[in-house]
Amino acid sequence: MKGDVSIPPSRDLPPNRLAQRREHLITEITQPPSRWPLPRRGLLALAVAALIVVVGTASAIGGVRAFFLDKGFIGLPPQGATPSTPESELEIFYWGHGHPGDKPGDGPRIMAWVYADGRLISLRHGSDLPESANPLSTGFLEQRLTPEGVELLRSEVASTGLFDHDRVLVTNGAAESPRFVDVRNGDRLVHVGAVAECANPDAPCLLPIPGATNATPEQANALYRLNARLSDPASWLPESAWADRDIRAYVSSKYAVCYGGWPPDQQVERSRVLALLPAAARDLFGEDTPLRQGPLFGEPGNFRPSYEYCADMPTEEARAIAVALDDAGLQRQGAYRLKYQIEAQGLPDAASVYFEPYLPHGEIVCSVCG
Amino acid sequence: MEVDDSVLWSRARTGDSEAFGMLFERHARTIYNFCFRRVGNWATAEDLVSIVFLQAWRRLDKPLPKGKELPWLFGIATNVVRNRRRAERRHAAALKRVPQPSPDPSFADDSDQRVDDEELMGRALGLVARLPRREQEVFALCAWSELSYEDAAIALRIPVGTVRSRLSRARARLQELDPSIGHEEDRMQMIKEAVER
Repeated sequence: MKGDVSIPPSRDLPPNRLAQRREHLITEITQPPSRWPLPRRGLLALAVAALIVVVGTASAIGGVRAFFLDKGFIGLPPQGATPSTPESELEIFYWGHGHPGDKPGDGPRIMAWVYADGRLISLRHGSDLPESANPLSTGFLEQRLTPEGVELLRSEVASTGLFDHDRVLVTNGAAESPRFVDVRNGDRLVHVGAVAECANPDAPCLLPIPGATNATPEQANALYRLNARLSDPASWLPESAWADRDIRAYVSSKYAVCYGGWPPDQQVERSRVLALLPAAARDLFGEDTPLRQGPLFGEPGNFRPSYEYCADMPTEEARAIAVALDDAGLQRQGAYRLKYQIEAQGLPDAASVYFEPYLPHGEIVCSVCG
Repeated sequence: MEVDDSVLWSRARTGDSEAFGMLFERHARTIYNFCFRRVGNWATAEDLVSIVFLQAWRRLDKPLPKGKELPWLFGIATNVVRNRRRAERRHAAALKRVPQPSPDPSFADDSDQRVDDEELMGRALGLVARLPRREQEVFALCAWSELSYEDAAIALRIPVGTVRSRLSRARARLQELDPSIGHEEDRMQMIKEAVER
């Protein structure tokens, strides 16, 4: 293929066109909001928004009315909810089982992210927090730490002595250890994971993991303590560590809206999945949504990559897709994330569309993964 | 004396549409050329300029570092081009309200050159399209629009080091993809300048 990448042509807009475009721009931006391309609003979306408004709180910040939600939610926030901004650097990521549980590993499954600007965002499965979106998932929740609070958490992680380099530790106390913890060291995150010993030769096992080493008793204790601390920082952080201890919903300003076929480890052609979606949703996605590798799918000993087509978009565009799916009569599903499932014959057996919020460090997580 | 972009930006943030119009006049050409270099069609690029500024108006709540208004506009333009079909659909009604071009002799006389531009750009885009999208975007900003690494990082909201590494990979890949580029000596020099900048 021949081309010349060095000489991009350059020219001016003709003066009359520049003036016309300028005038058009001014006309458009000074029109009432009804001329803006806001998404259609389905009755269901309105009903959900109205319901959440009841539990939302409004407060005044800098003269602008902010609308915060004091309860988690699954899927898209109600219209008008104030997004949590700005983007920020991730300092600590924790993923593990909290306490208490009837037996080790029975406690709520928790993911938590601590940011340089003090935000503490968490997602819990199986928690009895009153702020939970539902009994299965809290939805993404947000609290605010002071710089001292962030530092105390960092110190707690550093005090284990485990974070001088990436490592995976094998321990018989894995169920009460973090699955893994990432902590920032300069421009990278140091990763420490814990996996269980393979006690039952007949049961599937995660091991061997290249580079995994057996935890010493001291390391196992350090992991146990760290898990207790990071899974419930409210139980030990002093008041001075909190800029805002009240829990509210984390509201993202951007979503990944993904669709894929079933089973998810098949790379089903985009057009075959799109063909299963209602036309209005198909149009909103467009035909250029990139394929990407999603979370691992399967069971220990047989994990396979999954594949999904994901488009990043502002919340209101994501809402337009949800409304298009609602309008087509599809049922909203998912206690952990907003999802629509469309049954089909053949391959794929089904198509699903789901919505994942972006976190402040510019990444999404698999919010159904436990 | 020319008013700073940051002053216009601040005024626009308070709802001053005229200040925003001045920003448009000041930067429309740059964004127009950037959009053309991403899509290879002057008419489409003109519509995309409108969309970029409409989107920018909606996002004026974002505080920007002083003097970084243009890199931020490049960031919006990059997103608009990336999601071009969706952006065009969303703004279809607004674009229909753009006045039809009035007869302009200089514009008509230019039409052959515009077609030539598009052909040339089409060939370049055909080559660049073989890079991963992220590298294409960095290449278009740094090599074609001459943004500094820092400004490209602001536009793409990625670290400066990532801009450097993506640009470096893009250059290496382009040279691998078409070693025949620049058979003519003067062309070679120009390519080297663009690729090595």
